[in-house]
Amino acid sequence: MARSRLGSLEAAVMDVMWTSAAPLTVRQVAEALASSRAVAYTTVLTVMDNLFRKDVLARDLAGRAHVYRPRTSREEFAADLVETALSDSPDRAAVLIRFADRLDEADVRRLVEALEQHQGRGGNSRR
Amino acid sequence: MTALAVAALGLAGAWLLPRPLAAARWPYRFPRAGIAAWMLLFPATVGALLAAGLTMALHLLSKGPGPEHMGGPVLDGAIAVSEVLLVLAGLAAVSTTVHRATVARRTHLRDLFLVARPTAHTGVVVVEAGVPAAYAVPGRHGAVVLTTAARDALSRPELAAVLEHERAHLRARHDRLLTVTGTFATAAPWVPAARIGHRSLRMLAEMHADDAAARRTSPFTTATALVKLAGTAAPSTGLGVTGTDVAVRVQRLLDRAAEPRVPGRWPMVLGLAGLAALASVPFEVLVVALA
Repeated sequence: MARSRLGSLEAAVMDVMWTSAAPLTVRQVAEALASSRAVAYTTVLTVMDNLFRKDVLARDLAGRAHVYRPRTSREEFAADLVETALSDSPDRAAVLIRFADRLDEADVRRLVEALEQHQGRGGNSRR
Repeated sequence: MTALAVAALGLAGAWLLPRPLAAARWPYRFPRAGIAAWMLLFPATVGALLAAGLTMALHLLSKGPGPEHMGGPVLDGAIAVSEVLLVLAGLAAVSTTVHRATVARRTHLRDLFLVARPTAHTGVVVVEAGVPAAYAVPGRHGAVVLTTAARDALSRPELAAVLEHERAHLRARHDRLLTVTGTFATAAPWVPAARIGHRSLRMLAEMHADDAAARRTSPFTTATALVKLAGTAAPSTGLGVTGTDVAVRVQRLLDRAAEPRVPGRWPMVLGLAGLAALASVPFEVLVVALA
């Protein structure tokens, strides 16, 4: 239970970080979150420290406070994630179940032809 | 003498049965029965070898040379010890892969929920990505993941087919089965039962899920959804064989759409009955040995 609450807070923090043009301090993120949810400064600090240790956020020292920024854009992060899911690793079957493996162009063309031929025969019966 | 005969039966089963079972037609028509057949073949082969060794070990424990006592106590001891080691190694290998998969899944889910958006369907999330893809993350907190490109490429019925396919995988817990068989296929690829069995089970699990999707929508809709999601951008790295699986699945769905008649069940019934009889041999041996 506690894990999923922290998980949703991580997502909320990343939403703030990804929409911000400039690097942010923990206090700035906590203030941005305060409008939508009651959350303590120390909790936000913990979450952002976690995200830093997981390499999702980067941080620099500006004066006496850390300023955080996302390591990659939201788009890149999502693309990398999907790429990992689609890559062929030996353990993949155990981790994720993909709908379809990727085919090369020749195979796809052949299958599209088979589909068209089937439709041409008017064989689009149910079941 | 029986101990050796049973051991020979186990070895013959592990080496000679996988090829005909993988080539048989009926598992493709009844994928669930096909999965059951492979799950009978494993205890039939491994169980026979273990039971044969165990009867020898039991004679060793009772000291006196019984009527079935073949080798000396040294040979019997070696058989018993190597058998225990083999079982322990198998258990360790499976638990290692299960643990690795659980960690990888948890990491993936955590990253996923940083960028995924919920959909109108429970348990289904959308991720912004240019590659049309759909996959399921098994587990208690699992999810079905759809990329925005896949959502845009698929028609509404095709989308329903994809979601039903993934849900069928999650419901049947195909991931658990494939984790175990995958471990043995990696550890002992020279054993046909392990290597061919894992490959066949992967295909049969897909067909089982395809059938669930075809029942919800239609075989043709499921086939078009498959082709749309298989024909995507980047080329697959390594393990090129998997691509042919998609072609076989599409052809199978089209055949079903053209010829919806359910084929005869006799080959399936006979196949399952034969394997069940074979799988019961190790138990009978143990019952006789213990009596």
